Amino acid sequence: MIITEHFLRLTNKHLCLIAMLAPTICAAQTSQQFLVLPEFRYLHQQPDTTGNTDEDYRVSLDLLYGLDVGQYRFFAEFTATDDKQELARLHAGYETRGGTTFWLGRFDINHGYWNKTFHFRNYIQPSIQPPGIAGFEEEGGLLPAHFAGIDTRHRWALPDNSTLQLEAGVGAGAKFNGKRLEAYDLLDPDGGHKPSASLRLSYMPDAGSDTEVGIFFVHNRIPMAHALLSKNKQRVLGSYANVRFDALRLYGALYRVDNDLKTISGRRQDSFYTTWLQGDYHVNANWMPYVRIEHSNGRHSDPYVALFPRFIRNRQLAGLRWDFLDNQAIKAEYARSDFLHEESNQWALQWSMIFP
Amino acid sequence: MGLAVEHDLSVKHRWPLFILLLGVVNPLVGFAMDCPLLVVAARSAPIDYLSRQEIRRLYLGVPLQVEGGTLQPVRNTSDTMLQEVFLQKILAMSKNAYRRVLAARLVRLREPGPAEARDIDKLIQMLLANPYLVSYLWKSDFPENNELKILLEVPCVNN
Repeated sequence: MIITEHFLRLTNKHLCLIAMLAPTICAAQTSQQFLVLPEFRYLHQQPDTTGNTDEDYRVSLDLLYGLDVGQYRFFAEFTATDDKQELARLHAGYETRGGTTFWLGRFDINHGYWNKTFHFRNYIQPSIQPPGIAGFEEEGGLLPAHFAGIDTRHRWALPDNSTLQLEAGVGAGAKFNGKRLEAYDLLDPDGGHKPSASLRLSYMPDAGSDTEVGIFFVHNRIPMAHALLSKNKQRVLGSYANVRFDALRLYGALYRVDNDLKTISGRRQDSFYTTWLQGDYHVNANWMPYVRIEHSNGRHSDPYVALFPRFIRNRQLAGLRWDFLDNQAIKAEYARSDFLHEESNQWALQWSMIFP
Repeated sequence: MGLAVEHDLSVKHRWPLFILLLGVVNPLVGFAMDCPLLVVAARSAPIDYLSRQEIRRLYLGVPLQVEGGTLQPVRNTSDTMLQEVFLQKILAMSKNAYRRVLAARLVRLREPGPAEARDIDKLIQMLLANPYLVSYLWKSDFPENNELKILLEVPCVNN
């Protein structure tokens, strides 16, 4: 309840801001949407090397609000787990009559497919666990996932019913705090962040479906709070695809990551690729088994990769999703994951819902 | 004997039972359907016709450019049955499936779903105020004062 009130206070504050900026917009066409997505997840991990087991329970709530008033756009996503609250995304934008939208706020970096499509780890996401390379900063992810700054998007409607979309963003990226990456937090802003720039080009052959292919490029400058490393110039290049064959949905992404690290004695470079491919099979409206494979050639001898012990080198994952009562889902999945230093068996169970 | 009595009862109540079952199985029973359904815009709208495919794309969030601007869809939520028929006939999906599509769209593209009008009078006012708005209503709700134009007529029977 406190979270909801906090979110609504923020929303009202920004609505007032929009109203102050453009007094005439109240007469304009308005559409809005509010979503509440609660989730409960249980994760059981058994590292093979030590035999120890690790159990993790998580309760989370995701609140999304989108508002279009004439040419003005507003979007907010507030997430809260049992140990952290975060204004995951907050955007205010303006769409020109030519169809280009300019946004100001905190965004997903324009790379990959998973986070751009599902973003949070709940009902919207088909499985329980995301691919390792799509992990958020606070999840121990290896790539910066958020930036705060300017994002722009333009869509071209092509004559054959297809659509081409370009997204580009630049702003304050993530920094390495000695243990993990840390994105710019709008609720708790701090200094020391360097620029991140990203570009993503998508082609959707049928705008009425979610079939999509695309390429992306990211350049991150990452300050490093580390005894041996002071900063990293990171480049990420990749592609992704999402296609459907009747009841079968296949989607995946390929990343090439190059790191140029400045050390106390000079420079060190490493590069690696990582890829994932997932298949969802819709048996009917309620049941959906899914499988995913992930692979990377990143090693613990790579200086940047070595900073992220939860980095996944290989993973085979299988799960089952049951949708019931129109807006709830229960998922169960098993994964065999090769982390940087250990192999692990993971069992996960999740209940999630969407309202309204 | 008991069987005969049961048999008699089932024969006696066959038609009421059948009608009752129809009410349970067929969701259309118990709702008013003033077919056909009309897709409409203001008389001053810069278009005269929209295909089912164009309307489908419009309600799935694909911008449709016309002379002088972009068409914007409005959901008529004044009548549950009207919504169901529109979604089935034009978008070929259930209300829940459409809700999921709109949710995924909000997450992915940060775009809220179409604007809503909860009563017919408000809907007509909205359409008259903006020639780029498109919506749908029952033929029985179509105003006779020539303020709106019909972009597509959708019969309720399969065709």
